[in-house]
Amino acid sequence: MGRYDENINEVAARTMALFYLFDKSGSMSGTKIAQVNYAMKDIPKIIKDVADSAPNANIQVAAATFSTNVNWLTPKPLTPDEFIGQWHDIHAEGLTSLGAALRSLNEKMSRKGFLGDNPMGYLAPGIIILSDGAPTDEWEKPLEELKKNNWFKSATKVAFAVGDDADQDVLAKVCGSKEAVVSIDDPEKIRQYIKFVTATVSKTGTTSSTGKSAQEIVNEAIKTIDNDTPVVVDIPDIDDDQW
Amino acid sequence: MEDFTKGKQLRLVNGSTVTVKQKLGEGGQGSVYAVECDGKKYALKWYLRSYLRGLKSNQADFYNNLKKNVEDGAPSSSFLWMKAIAVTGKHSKGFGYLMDIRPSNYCEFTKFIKAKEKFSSTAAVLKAALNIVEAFQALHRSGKSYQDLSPGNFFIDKDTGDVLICDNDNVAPNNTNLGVGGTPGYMAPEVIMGKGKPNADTDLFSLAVILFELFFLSHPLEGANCCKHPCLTPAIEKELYAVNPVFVCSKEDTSNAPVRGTCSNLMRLWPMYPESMHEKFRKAFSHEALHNGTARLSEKDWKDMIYALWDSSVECPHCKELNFADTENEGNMKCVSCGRSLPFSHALQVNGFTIAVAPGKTISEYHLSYGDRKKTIGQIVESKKNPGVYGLKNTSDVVWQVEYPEKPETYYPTDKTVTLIKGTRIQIGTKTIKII
Repeated sequence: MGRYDENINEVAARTMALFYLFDKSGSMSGTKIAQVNYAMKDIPKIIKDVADSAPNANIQVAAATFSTNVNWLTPKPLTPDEFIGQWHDIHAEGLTSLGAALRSLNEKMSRKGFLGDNPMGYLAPGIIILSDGAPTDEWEKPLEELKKNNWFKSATKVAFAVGDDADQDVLAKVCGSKEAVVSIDDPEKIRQYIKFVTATVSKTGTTSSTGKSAQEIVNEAIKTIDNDTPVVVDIPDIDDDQW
Repeated sequence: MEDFTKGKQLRLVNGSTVTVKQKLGEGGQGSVYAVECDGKKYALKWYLRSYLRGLKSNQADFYNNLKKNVEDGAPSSSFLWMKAIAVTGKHSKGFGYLMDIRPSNYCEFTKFIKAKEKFSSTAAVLKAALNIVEAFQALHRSGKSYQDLSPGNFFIDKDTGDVLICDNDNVAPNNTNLGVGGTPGYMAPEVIMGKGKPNADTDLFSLAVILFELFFLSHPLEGANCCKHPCLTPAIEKELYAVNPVFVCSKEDTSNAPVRGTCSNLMRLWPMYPESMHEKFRKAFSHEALHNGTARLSEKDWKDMIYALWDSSVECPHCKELNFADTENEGNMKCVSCGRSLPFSHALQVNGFTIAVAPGKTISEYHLSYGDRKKTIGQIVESKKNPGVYGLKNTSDVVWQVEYPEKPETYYPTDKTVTLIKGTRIQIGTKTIKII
């Protein structure tokens, strides 16, 4: 028995909820959906690492797929550990009901929905959307409604536009700017990109601060996501080819 | 953003080669790999190119500063310091640095705050506090500032209180800032307001927050005011931590008082520490100290607080928990943990310091002349013949002049022990120890 014994409790920390919306329309089948499934198995570990080093913040994950319908894979935002048990591989089929997905996101981003029961309150949420097509339903009105949602307003948003058929303009409208849309030409890169953006969004939302807004920091990071040009610093010449 | 694969070789600027073994983790700045160099294992932190590009014009300064830090070496052994810079090659695709691998007995401080890890004793907490304060004193004395203190950068041994400070990337000469702002909740108000850049004074603000969290496992500015907001927007964050921050235990302004549930650890731990310590924290988070960088508590102030805790401590003979004696409750002190009586009856007073009498405790040059605490001049011992009777053994090299109540002056040379009776006075040079 002592001061720092079993009577010390985990106290409520602010929570960052990370929302994923995955297009699982028929065109996503094959490599694309496999890469998403593959990525989401790595996500809990990444989030856990970020949360462990975040002093007063926890991170929870909520994920939904949209095709002909919208389906939440998580009954509520889950901790990384809970999420491991909850994730089931998703299969591609159906249409691209982005409008329905936005309407559902609007419902969940509320105190009555997914953001109600944390006494310390929440940090600004993160939203990550992935789609390879254009919406097949009415999306403008749901987006207009969603944009009135205060949680959505303060959220950091990133969208992945996979392949040529993805409607980048619609995704840019959802995210608020073109800068927040990452275009992925090579489906093999989906996994890597989801991981990178998850780490960046969750880290930015819970810890680091440079005086810029979280969205600005994330936009800057994704701008250089695939930039392989050398980083120019005055470092000694070493021959890369000697190995 | 490709990861290094196992077996990838990288060249160090000092000429050696490292071989990548395994990826250990990744964060917003970069990834950490386990690597091998000359048969020894190290950790390699490799910066993300997006991070380096984000530094823009500061990029070269950032690299040169890292190089300078490698050359200067660690300010103290509590820093997990950069040992060498690694680059991929000509027209490098980036760089990183080599450091020792963190031993597994060290655990993230954030886990203690989140109650996923627990200190094994109060003594370990006091030692950790002292280690942290001494590390920052060494860093600041070397003319540098840390600039991004947050619990995510501290690793602590729960048994010994040993500390390792990581992520030293932003350490730079005081008042030189290479772009880092800090971590919300730990940034000084003037940095959040954009009125100043991180420096040694803002480090002192962050240090006060870290120490408060270490002792009370709760944040000093997060009370009732923080629970009012369902979503912490940047504007609310600015209000709570910079425009109008209020100390949770402030006597003058109780608007941000601790809230049951979210501050339960604070509510349990705060009353277990003495008023003298409460006063220090009230001063550290007073309106003046929050807003004026030069009014903050220095490392010396914190060391004095920690030493005063040690000096007033009495170990419970039953449960071994440390208790902090107050001379007002002599004779009837109860253990904060097990509730049983404590054998506290005397204290020594010298030079403004009060030391509760308990076996094993020492008087040092710190007490006599603000000198070194490691140079002891007297040690408290318990009588072998009469348990419960305590004496002060002369471990100095001078003869003590002792005046027991109503007895003639007696002399105690080195190794002789003075029986501690109330009213006794021990003269050591120009200083007098009084037994009260």
